Amino acid sequence: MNCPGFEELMAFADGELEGAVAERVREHVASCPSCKSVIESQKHIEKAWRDSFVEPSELDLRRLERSLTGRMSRKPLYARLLPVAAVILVAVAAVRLMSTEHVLLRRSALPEVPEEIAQAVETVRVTASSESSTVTPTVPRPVAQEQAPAFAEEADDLTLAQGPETGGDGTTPTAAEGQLRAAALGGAAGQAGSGGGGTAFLGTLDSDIAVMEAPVTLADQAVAGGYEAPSGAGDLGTASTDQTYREIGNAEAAAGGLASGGGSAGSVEQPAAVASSSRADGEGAGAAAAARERTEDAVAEILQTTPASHGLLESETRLQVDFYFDSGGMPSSPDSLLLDESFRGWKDSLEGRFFDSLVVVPVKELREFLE
Amino acid sequence: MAALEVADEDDPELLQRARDGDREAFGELFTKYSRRVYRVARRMCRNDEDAWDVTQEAFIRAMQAMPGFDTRFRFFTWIYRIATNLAINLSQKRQRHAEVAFDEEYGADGLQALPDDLSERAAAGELAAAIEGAVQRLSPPLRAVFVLRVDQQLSYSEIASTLGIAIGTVMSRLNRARNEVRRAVGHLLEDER
Repeated sequence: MNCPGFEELMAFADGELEGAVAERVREHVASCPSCKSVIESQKHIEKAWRDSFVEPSELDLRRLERSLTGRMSRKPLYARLLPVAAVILVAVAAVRLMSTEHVLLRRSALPEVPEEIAQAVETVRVTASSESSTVTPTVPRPVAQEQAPAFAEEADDLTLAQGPETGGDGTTPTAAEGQLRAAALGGAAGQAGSGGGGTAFLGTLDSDIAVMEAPVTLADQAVAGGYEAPSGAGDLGTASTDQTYREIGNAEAAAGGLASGGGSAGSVEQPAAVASSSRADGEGAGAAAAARERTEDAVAEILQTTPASHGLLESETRLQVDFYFDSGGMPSSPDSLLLDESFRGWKDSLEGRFFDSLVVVPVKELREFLE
Repeated sequence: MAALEVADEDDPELLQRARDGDREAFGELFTKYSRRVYRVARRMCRNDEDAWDVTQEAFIRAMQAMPGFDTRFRFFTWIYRIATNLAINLSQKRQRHAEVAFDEEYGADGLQALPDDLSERAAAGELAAAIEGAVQRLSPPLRAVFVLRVDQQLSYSEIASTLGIAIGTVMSRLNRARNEVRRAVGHLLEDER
């Protein structure tokens, strides 16, 4: 017989041929040095490769087991990331609040980021944690009050200007900024409120409560500018967009400029982190509708997380705005610089609390503004 | 581990317990299969870090999907499938971004570049290194079949089941993979004779 093809020879060597076919090939190989040589050389190749494998050490396997156990015992990803998301949402909302209306951010002052650096780092990578997912992130006060005097002055200008202006043109300047939907947080229910009391609660998932100060500082700004943000509480994460906004500053506040306004900063149902005002009830309804509409574009979502640095699920990722930080935690993209400039140390509280997670927060409007 | 006893029978009770959410039972499955899964992952990936990530992710996904696992099927086939798919996806991603880096590491012929002071020691493993280079140059789908057959020594039907492809596809991919590897290392075989 003619020599079998390589595929058939290998199938024979693999024991995958049966019956008469196997017998025919066996007889041929027994009498054909060439075919026998092919099989032997192939076996030689494959054995050399197989035997070259370096087994993992027991230590490596134990390390994997520990890591696996840790990950398995953690709460669902959305629960763990909720506080992170909240921090970012708050920060973004605040940036938007302070920038879109009054162009207070001096982007020209931000350092340029080399393109290669911006491309080389990952998106808001929160690292290192062996703790449980119960977190209490505390967002430092905005630069407006501490780290950046110039910015603070501008912030004051902003809030001071809002009262009279809103009474005059009937607009609702920043209501939309407050309408942060947490839909992508998996329908997670969590409380988020804020106000004069000094804290806001983010995330009651699995009884976790995260305390944030960022909304308060925003409220403080409102107070400084003539608004008073009373205590408020709401839910972050119920994904009920229709309920995700509320204006700070009611008609009374708008009319008087300095009156106390009802509302909260830092929630979804009673929305997050942003104070706003409306002029009057009637117009307020229209403004609210407009705000709600704008909110659709201001939705912030966590769309994707990956378990490690390699983005195994990358194909499912939708990116709109990435906040880049280098391995040292330094901002390395215009967006992250803006965030850091506005809220120095905003991410500090996250250090050591999360492990190896990648947070992607798309906020379309922010990018458009920044660009 | 020259030969792998991958065909050993699963413990139905263990699988059922794991399926019911028993962490301890799943831990036993981990103990039983982690080396094998890591080995598949390591053969599929170009570095340890990726292999460990794939291994870990495979077990996490398996645990998450365990309630839906049909205990009539074999666990190793299932988790191999998860691991190989993860590795294939990762390899394809890496392949898009790291062709240059790979060529620097292995050279155009897939031969691993080693420092001179290691040349003597490396000589003994030159064939293995060359094969490894050639395997890593295979497309991920071909590499998966090659790894499962040559390294894990699964039967064609087990490979088909693991990868969810037809046996004919297994045979054709394996044939292509073997031919490519042979071409890459043929000169070394000649030298040995």
